[in-house]
Amino acid sequence: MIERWLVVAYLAVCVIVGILASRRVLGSADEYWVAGRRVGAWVNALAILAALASGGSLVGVVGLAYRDGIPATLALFAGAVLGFPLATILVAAPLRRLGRFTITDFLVFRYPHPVVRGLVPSLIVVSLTVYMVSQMKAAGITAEALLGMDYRTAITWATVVFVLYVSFGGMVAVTVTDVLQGALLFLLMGATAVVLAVTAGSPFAALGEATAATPAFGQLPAGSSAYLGYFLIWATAIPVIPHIVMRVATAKDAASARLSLNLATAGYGVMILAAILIIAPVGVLEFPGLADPDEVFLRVVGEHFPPLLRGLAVAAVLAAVMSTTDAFLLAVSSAVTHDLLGGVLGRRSPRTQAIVRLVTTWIVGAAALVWAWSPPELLTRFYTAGVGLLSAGLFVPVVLGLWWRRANRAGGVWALVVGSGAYVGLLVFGGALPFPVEPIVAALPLSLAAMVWCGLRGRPDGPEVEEAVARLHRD
Amino acid sequence: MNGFKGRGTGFLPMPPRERRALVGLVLFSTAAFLPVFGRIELGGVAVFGWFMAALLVGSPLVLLALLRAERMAKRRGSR
Repeated sequence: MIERWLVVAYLAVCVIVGILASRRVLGSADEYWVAGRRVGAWVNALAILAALASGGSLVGVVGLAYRDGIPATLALFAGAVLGFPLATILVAAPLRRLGRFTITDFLVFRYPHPVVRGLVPSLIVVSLTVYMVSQMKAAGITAEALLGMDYRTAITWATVVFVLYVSFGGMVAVTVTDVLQGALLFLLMGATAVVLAVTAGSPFAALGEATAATPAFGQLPAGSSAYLGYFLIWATAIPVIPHIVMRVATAKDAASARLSLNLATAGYGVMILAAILIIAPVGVLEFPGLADPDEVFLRVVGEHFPPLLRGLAVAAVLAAVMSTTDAFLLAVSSAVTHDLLGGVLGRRSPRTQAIVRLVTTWIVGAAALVWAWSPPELLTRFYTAGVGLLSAGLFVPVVLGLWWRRANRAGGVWALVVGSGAYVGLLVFGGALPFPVEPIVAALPLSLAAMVWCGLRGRPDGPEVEEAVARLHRD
Repeated sequence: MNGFKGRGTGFLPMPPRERRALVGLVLFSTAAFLPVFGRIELGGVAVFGWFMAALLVGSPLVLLALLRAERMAKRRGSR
């Protein structure tokens, strides 16, 4: 019973934060989307950690290691972590200096074309909705396993709560709740790893036993190159993924944005390493042959912790889910109301804009909820496929658009279309090819080839565009 | 190797420290994917896995050190 009260208290705090924040944000787009650009480095770092450490990171990481082994799982998460230094060096400072809200803002600034205006927000809506659905599944199976709640009831309540605080509180509410959620997550993952390590007598005792009992657990999956795809997807997604770009925009300045990205990643790396090397081996030893690998983390917590800590575990998984999903919901909502409808809404009153933002957020949340009632299997693979679409379409146009002088409008448009088109084509029809191809491994070079071809053969954008881009690189 | 250096190459200039960190991280990651590291094991885990673990913890630390060095250099420059 105490578990349920802990979760109810946690959800109530989130709603109160949303209501309090609404007083500040509803009248201003700047406050609503990027919290007035006043967030300090440490607060932003905790919020980024929480946004990054999704239900997938908490529930999915252990499940993936259980099923695909340690090296392949480390490849996926090392890719995500490598993405942050790439973001720091390649995009964070210039995007912060641009002073806008979203990744679409930059791409439209760099490649002003109707295809960019329409396709980029559409890709964001599709891929982040896929991600949200997988997060909701994590919340549902957690509540089902540890609280004995019905799956659909649990995700419906969780969705109502996060849609409520995001729609009313915007980025301010997302930041405050994410800081709480980040701290809770870090504590739970750390405490679980420490307790398991102390029980086993050493941090790596279970790892040694698990790899001896199941050698495949320590090896790369035979005949599969999926881990290379995982790595590439995440390394190239982080510099362009909308919710991280929005967090960069909330920072006080470019230096603070760069510092917060790497502080967050350092914490995230330690957390993920503890999950893969300490928690997953215990799952392999104690719960062999599970049909749904995503249950492993919850089984381990259920087996080793008393009810109070199990309640905290549910709250932490909900925190992980909500801190990522709220950021995505805000990003999807911004893709619709700011990127797609911005031209029309810009001429309306602030009150009308606020109402449209609110309604859009509820519609997106409801659509994701309906999909999440019949969720797909294996969280991490599912949402990684969604994120791959963003990497394939956006990485080359964003990075070369910032750094390559020859990048031009035609190159940006074609790199976007070819990258995302090739990714979707290979994801859907790749099985029919006579040899296996990871969609991202083919889509990124094709996107790059389209950009380079147009840049070298086409007309340059002109000195005024070059000067505007060069200004983004100056302090 | 000087692809990022300047106008002649078509790329906007990048601070040398950042260029070195970028090249180092990319080379380390590429080396980790050499097939040989997937076959050799250390402590029951493929060496590839240990490379990824090092990247997981090491890459943010490299960048934090780089940002600190840049901050110090800026302070020295402003004095």
